[in-house]
Amino acid sequence: MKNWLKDSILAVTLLVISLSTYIVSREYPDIASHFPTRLALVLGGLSLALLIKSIVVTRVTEGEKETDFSSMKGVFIVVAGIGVYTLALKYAGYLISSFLLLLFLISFLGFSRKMALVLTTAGCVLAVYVAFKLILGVPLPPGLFLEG
Amino acid sequence: MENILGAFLDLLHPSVFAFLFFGVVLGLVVGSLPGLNDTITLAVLIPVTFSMEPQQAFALLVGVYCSACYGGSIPAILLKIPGTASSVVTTLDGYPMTQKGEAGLALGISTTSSVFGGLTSSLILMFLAPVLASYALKFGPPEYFALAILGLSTVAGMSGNKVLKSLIVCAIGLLISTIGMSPQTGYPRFYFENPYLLEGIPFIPMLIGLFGVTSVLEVAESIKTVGANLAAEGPIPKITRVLPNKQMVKRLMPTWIKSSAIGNIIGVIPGAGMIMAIYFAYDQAVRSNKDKKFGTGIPEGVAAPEAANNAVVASSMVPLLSLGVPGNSTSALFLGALMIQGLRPGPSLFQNSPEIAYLIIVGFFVANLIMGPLGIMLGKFLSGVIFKIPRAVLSGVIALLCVTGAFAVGNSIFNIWVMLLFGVVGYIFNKLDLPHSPLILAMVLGSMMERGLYQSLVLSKGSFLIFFQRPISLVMLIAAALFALAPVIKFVWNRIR
Repeated sequence: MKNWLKDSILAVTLLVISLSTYIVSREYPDIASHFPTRLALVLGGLSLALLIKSIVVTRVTEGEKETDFSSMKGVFIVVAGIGVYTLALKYAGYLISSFLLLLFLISFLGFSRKMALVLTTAGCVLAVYVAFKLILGVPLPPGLFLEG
Repeated sequence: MENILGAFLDLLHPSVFAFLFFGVVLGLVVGSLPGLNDTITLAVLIPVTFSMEPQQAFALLVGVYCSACYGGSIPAILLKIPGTASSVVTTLDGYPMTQKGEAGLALGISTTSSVFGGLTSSLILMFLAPVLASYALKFGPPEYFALAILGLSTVAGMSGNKVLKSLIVCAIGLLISTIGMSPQTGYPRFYFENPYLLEGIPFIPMLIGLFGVTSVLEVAESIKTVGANLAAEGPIPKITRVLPNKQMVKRLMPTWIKSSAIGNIIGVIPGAGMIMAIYFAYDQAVRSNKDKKFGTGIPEGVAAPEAANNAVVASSMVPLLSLGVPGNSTSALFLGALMIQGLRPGPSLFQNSPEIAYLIIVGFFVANLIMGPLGIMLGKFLSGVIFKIPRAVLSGVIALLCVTGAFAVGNSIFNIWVMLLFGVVGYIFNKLDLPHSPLILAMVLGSMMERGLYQSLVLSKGSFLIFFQRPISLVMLIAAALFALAPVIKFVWNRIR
């Protein structure tokens, strides 16, 4: 995507955000609304300036410069993986879900030796568990299996 | 002087020294683990200190507080994940130094800078505590508002050729800081009926996401096809020289002095916070070294925030020990620890229990001396391990540390969602060339700015003149205007010439 177009889309998105923020914050009682409404106006003004700059200046000066958005498949998969982990944490508990998350991430990111993968994953999860739970006393979720 | 010498002798008692040493080691470890910091560790340790001798208890707490702040710089330099919030700025030049094969030097600069900042603030605490505390108490709402404005004006210095985008990110950060209850009325804003958002966006999970998760997503992006082998690494950089040489020390000395001064001044102001100090220090380093391209692995970019954050550590104890007013959340925990031991902080502490007051002060000095070599050893060990780990495994472990650290902050799964959200935000910011730093700074300063503004207007019955009638506030606002307008002044000056 061309840089000026990218900036224009950003500016329009921010304009929408600042407008919605302004409308929502106007509903708040007097003092509570002052700061956010003024900030929304400032953000709106700055976004407008970015929109003008991207169309008038960036389009002319940067010409064909582009940002690559084509290789984001991996990003979506990792975000989805962490999302599923977060949902599963309460039920499966820290040890099981963390083992599965790490196994998935390491293999997805390109580590292919199977035996080493399982051992490395188990070792890392145990090391983090020992550091946080046993040494530093952070109560990590046990999950339904261990709780029950 | 007699009290100081007595405190040194107390501290050298084997059992007290052992607790100080253990505290320093513990602080380094928790500091280097994302999500854990000095505040959490002290909160856990304070009940434990109840049954301990006061000297042992405070030696332990001082050791943790002192070194956790420095420990955060190790993952910031090696992995681009700040272990603690105080090392956020260290990532800007620390990680690029690692990428250039200068991880050892970056760790060495971080260590020497931290020790320099820590030692200067310990000395100031020893000799100037009461004077500085009385100056800090002159800060009222208008001064806090002006301080927040001054803090935000540093964005102009850091933005380079992205002034407009930096200002936009700043406004976004300030808007995010309004999420939760209004500081004046307690009215909930933008909380989407979610009780977790009533106290605002949790800061540490946000930081973990913005740095740690973003770095994992960037690795994930580099996979063009699923299963591509990312494990193949280049040659492992060898960490040889760690301590900076004479020329480097000479080069960094002005940065150390300025940054330590900034850290000390900001540290004594209750509530001003470490984040503001590190940004100020970095901004000053940028302004003083205009010929260098910061953000590409410049040693001053590591030295400035590290000297400043460790200077804040001891100086934040100044208002607590001298006046009984905690300077930040960690020194508030010290207040609790003193009360648990039946001690009353404030001027009477120096009269009634001088042995404890001076032990704490001298403890900071000695802890900084211990922290230097231990920090270098830990840094060298960790870097030796980290560079041998395949990138896929390292990224996976970073993700695991991030989720565990985010959860550990408040034992809440909601924090992991916040971390993930800000990881995505950080990734999108990178794609859109939006800088991260103004977002963090604005989120920290937003509530201080709003509170200062409205409390001042209440005091002045709605008149904005109050900000210009008080000398400290006026000076800070003038300085902020100069900082903010510096790029414009420079542009006009160049055109005239």
